Amino acid sequence: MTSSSSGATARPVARLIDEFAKLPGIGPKTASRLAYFLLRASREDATGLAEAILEVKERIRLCSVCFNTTEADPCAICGDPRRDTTICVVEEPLDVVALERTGQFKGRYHVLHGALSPVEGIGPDKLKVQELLGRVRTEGPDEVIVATNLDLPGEATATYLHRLLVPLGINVTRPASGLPVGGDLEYADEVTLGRALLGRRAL
Amino acid sequence: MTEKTAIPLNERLYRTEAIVLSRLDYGEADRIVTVYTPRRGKFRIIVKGARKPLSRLGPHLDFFCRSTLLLAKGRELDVVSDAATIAPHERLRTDLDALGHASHMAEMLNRLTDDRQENEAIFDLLAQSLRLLEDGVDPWLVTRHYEWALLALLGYRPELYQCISCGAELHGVPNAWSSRLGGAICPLCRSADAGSRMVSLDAQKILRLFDRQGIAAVARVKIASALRGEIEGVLGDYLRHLTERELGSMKVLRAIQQS
Repeated sequence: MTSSSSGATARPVARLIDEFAKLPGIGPKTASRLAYFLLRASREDATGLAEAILEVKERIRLCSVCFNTTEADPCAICGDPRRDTTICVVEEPLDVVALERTGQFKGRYHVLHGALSPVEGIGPDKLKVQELLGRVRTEGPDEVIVATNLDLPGEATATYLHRLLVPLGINVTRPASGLPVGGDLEYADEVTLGRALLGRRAL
Repeated sequence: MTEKTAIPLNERLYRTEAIVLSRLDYGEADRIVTVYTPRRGKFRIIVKGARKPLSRLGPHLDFFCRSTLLLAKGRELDVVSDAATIAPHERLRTDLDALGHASHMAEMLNRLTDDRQENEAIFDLLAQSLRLLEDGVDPWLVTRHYEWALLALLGYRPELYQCISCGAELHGVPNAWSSRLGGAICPLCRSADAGSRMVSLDAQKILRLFDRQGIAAVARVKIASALRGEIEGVLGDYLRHLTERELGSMKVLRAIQQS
């Protein structure tokens, strides 16, 4: 990206704009706005941001057990003796945050860092699949919950993991899928609605 | 479809069928989706809020989903304002072999076509091929037929009947195959392309069957796995030449199959 390298912009500002433009969802216009905001901001605010970025890069790494982002290795969840042996497999670290917020899960996690997607060239070798199999063999969990997304890559990943884990004698489950709380029936797509009907419960 | 008499379809809004070829997360919860449509060919659209669980658009615009869309013209990308699924192709979620082949078909189409080139026959070919995969037809067969038919529709149909170098009619013998020249060459002309490979008589017969009679005729022939490999190799080599790159989907499929 050298969108801002015209003469009207001082070189350091242009560099900052180019750096912002690399961030997801940030286009050239937003990148310029952010750069000029920082130019006007106080020195403390700017230093604070710069330090926060550096700190994240220096102090945060992946937990060697579950591959979630962490400051300590193993991470707080993997190191917690009160957690049970169930493993919940998710695509991204943010999914761990979402599941932890529910307070319903007492086991440990495993972050794959993506999902199978042949179109995008993402195969099993780009995910933490071998690491999961290694963990399952040594930890011997009662159950592996495959909580990947419910879109096609997530579902394909669940199919794939199911195929690998069942021969190891593991109970592999998938969170229920159906109608969202607060959702309108008429807007549900037929796949969701069909599953919601199949998975209905007695009142 | 629900009737929409309250909002007339003016110039800003238009309706189209579409099949999703690929998608890209964008911003907080949006997605940019590449679709193939009957009347407008391939182009990219934006689906606002597609990644939120309550999105009423997202599920209709997952990979390979065939949907009816209501689109609003935007400054750069058109915006999806309504969507309804025609065929979700659910099998691809649980059949990894079918998924890998569908991915290959989408990737190939994406690489070989330019934006907004109308070609309704290509849309029909893709829709039909995905439906066959959904119905459990052998993915190898569906995909080779798709490759052949797509190449033909795009004007890349390889020559099978006359030597591409000297123009002489090809005889029922093993001939050479030149991806660079675009088809079979007779044994005498083999030196016309140093990168050519041999193609067996049986492989040539199957390719001619695809060309003249289509998928149903090939489905009636029992094709041994070595011959399957050869045909896949010949077409794959030609595709690599045309796209100037390795198509990634089949590599991922092989990695999935091996583990």
